[in-house]
This record gives sequence, structure tokens and C-alpha cells, in this order.
Amino acid sequence: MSNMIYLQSSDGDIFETDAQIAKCSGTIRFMLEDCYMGEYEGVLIPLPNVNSAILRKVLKWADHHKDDPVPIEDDGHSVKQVSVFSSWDAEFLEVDQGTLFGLVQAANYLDIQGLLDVTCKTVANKISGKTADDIRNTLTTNQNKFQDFI
Amino acid sequence: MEQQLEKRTGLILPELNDHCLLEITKYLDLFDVVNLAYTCRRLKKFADLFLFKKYTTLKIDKNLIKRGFAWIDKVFACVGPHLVTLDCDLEGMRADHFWPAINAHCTNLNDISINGWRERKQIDFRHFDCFDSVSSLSMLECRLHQKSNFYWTFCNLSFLSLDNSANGNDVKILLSNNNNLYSLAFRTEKIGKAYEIEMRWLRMVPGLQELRIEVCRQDEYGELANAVSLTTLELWCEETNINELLSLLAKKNKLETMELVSVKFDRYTGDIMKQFTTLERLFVNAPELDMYGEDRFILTPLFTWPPNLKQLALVGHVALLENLTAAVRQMKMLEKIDFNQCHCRQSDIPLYNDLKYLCQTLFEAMSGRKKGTVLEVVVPGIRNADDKSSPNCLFDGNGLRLFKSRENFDFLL
Repeated sequence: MSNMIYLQSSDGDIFETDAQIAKCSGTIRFMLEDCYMGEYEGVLIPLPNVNSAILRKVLKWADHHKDDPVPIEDDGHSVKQVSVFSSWDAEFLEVDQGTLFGLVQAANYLDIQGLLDVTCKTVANKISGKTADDIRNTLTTNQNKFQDFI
Repeated sequence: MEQQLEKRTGLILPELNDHCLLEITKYLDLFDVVNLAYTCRRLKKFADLFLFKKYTTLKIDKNLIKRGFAWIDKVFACVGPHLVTLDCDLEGMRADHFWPAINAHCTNLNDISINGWRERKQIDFRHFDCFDSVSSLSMLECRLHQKSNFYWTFCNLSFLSLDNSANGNDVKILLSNNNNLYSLAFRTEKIGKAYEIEMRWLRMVPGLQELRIEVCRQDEYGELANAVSLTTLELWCEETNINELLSLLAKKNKLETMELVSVKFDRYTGDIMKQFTTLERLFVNAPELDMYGEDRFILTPLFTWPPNLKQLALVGHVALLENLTAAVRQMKMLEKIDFNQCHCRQSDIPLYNDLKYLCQTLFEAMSGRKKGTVLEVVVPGIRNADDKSSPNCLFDGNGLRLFKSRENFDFLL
């Protein structure tokens, strides 16, 4: 039996999705199981921190990874190995930097560890081995906006 | 049009919150994080927080040194203020240039260990204040410049370890500047000569509780007898007669742990041993056989041990089964006794290998011990059983654990 629920992005768009797919997000799973006590058929969950473009991408990633095993928590102390991830993920993350950072932020807000790992790895790969100037030049398509932080 | 909109509204790296940035930095090494810190104010603030939490210890090795002074200064500018522990592995490197960077940025150093430093060009350390807070200094195989004033800069040391890294004058300076020294360890081949000039070095550190000294000669015994607060002593001593020194040490100190290496016992040593009433852990390593093939001193069952000993390990002695039982009988507080690396005579090997007989003999010796206490015993002989698959523990019950090898048997120090 599939339980359809609705997710509302920050810009008002509503996405219909299977609850099982949406539950890869710890934030949504908590809402469905604790706030709606498991009876969540047709509920609408507002996600004020995720815009529709990002939410669409997140749902696409979640749909593709719906059968993945639950990731194991690491101790958080050692430097993680920048491993090669699946070609699907690599292709999925061939996006402009605004979207990539949007996905990092959304994965963090929605508590999707798998997506957070691959997006952070991708960002780290772009930073690793570069000088401060290189990082500034390559990681910020929007130099004007970056100037505010200097 | 859409692309322009994207450029204007799209997120950029400094806009991510700390948690997201933290996730990203998990995949970065120290140098990447330092580079991030130099991109903008926001990332500098984040990097400071991250480095403060993660890098209280820094290993200085060829990875850092080979990057040159500018880089080293950059790294220390970010990491230095939080650094507590500095671990320098400078073997085979020209490494004099990073000290000014340490002095410029480190304010909280507490623990420094240096390995293989060659001070090729004299650095003027006189105005360095980054070492004022250091309480632990460990130097291994370092060669300082003849006129080096590196050791002058330390004034709050509690722990000092000098392994082939200092001459007698250096030691004198260190001890006179650090009167609150708690632990001192040193090994050097040249130190003896300097002591002849200044033999009162132990008087400078009256609170010294731990002393580890390698290669101690008879002319230094008098100085060792000035130690009054020792609780731990590790002594490598090649002289023939150690009884006089042991007697002085027993009278003046309340030793709890003693390790004697290359020390020869004789029939009078037992009388002195019993004077160490506070001693709980004793390790004695016999010297190698001399060129004349002189036999080792054979412990007699009448040899007396410190009465309150909890751990005893003998290496290289000739220990018969009756020595073992006599020791167990004498020391009612004993928790561990290790005779594993002792020599046993041909006639004694069958006794050690007869597990049933061994246990029975030990149980007899253990009579009178406090109920509920456990005695761990490691003996020679049994390891020759050649059965690698059998467990190390051969017997466990009635307050006795019998082991056949040193593995899983960590002894003191």
C-alpha cells in the first residue's frame, strides 16, 4: 500500500510523493511518525527552507536511492576518505554551484545523510588542493556576492 | 535570463551554515581548511572554530616543513592560538625556520615532543615566550647548536625527558630554571663528565618524584642518594655493587615503583630489598653474561623481597621453582609475578612443565593470603610445550591464574 503525502516548497509549489521515499529524510520521518502518529495519508508538509528547484532534485535523488541500506554513523573524528561514488550520483551532481550548495543545505535541513555525504564530498573535491585564491575563483560563480564576505 | 537570475540568487559557499561547512571539512585535510580560512571573513571564522575543536595537537613533519616558511606561518596563524600539543618529527630535515612562526602564534602550548632536530644555525631563543606555558618537554636524538639557548626558555616544566639530546650543562640549566620538576628521564653518553663539575643537580629539584636514568656510574651514586621524594625510579646501572645505593634510596625515599636494568644482585641484596616497605612494583633485569662466562647470581629461597610488593618481574635471572614459591610465600600482597624470562636449570624444567605439580606447589605457597585476591603467575618452561593453539592462560581458579607467555601480561612502566 502506498501512502502519498504532499510536500510544499518555500515558493509554494506542492509535490506529491510516496511517504516511503520522503522518509529517507529524518526531518520528514520524524514529522510523519511523531506528529501524525503514523496516520499521514494525504498530509501536507511545508518545507520553508527548501525551494522547488532543490526539492525536485532532492526527491529525484531520494527516489533513486529508496532501496539503499541505512548508512552507518561514523565517529566524526577522522578525515573521511573521498571515495568514488556511483556514476548516477556523479551525473546527478553535475549542476551549477548554487544548486550544489542548495542541495547541501537541503540535505542538512531535511537530515538526509546519504545526500549530505555525496554533496559534501563533491564540494570538498572542488576545494581540495586549491589555494585560497583558486577556491575564491572556482567556487564562487557569483563574485559580487562573495565580495560581501571578504 | 534564467542563468543571470541563478547567478544573483544562487547560494555561495560562505552562506552555508556551520553544520554544512563542518560536513564538508570532514573530507578536507588541515591545509585545505587553512586555505579556506584565507578566502573570506566568514570562512575564517568557521575555520577558527573548526581548528580550535579539532587541532589542539599538531604534528610537524616533512609534509608541513617542505611547504616553506610562508605556508608554515599561515598554518600557525590559524592553528597556533589553539595548539596545546606540538609533536615534531624533524629527522633528516632542515627545520630551523618554523620556530619563529611558533613563537609568533602559539600562546597555549603545554606539551612539546621533538625528534631528530638538528639546529644547524644558531637561533636566538632568548626572547621566545611561547614556551613559558610548556609543562612537558620530550627530546629524542636532537643535536642542538653548540651555543644554543633553546633550553633557557623553559621555566615551568613538570615533565622532562632528554634522550641523547642534551649535555650536562643543558641539564643544569633546565633543572635550575624548573624547580618544580616532577618527572625526569634522561639517557646520554656524555652527561657523566658534566656532573663532575656540577654534582648537585638533584638538589635543585627537591620535589622530583619520577626519575628514569640510563647508564648510571658509581661516581653518580652519591648524587642519586640526594633524591628524597622519589616514588618511581628506573635505573640502568652497570656497576657491580648496587647494594650501597639501594640502601640509601630505601632510607630517603618512599619508592612505589622501581625498575633496575643491568643490575647484579648478590647475597646481601635481599637484606636491603626488605627495607623498601612502600614498594609495590619491582622489575629487575639481570646483566648479560660477561665474557668469562661467569654464572648469574642464583636467587636463594632465603632472598628477601620488599614486603608489600604487588608486582614482581625478573628477567635474565636463574630462577628455580623454589625461588618462585619462596617469593609467593613471602609477599602476601602479590598480584602478579613474572618469571617468564628467567633461566631455569635442566633439572627444573620438568617441574615447571608439570602443570598439576606446579599448581599444587603454588597453592601451598599461597596459603595465608587474603581471600578473594587473585595471583597471576607467568613461568618459564611451560612455553616449550610448542602448542601455539592453546590459550596463554593455562589455569584459572582458586585465586590463581597461570600464564605461559608474556602476551596479555603488561608489566609496569
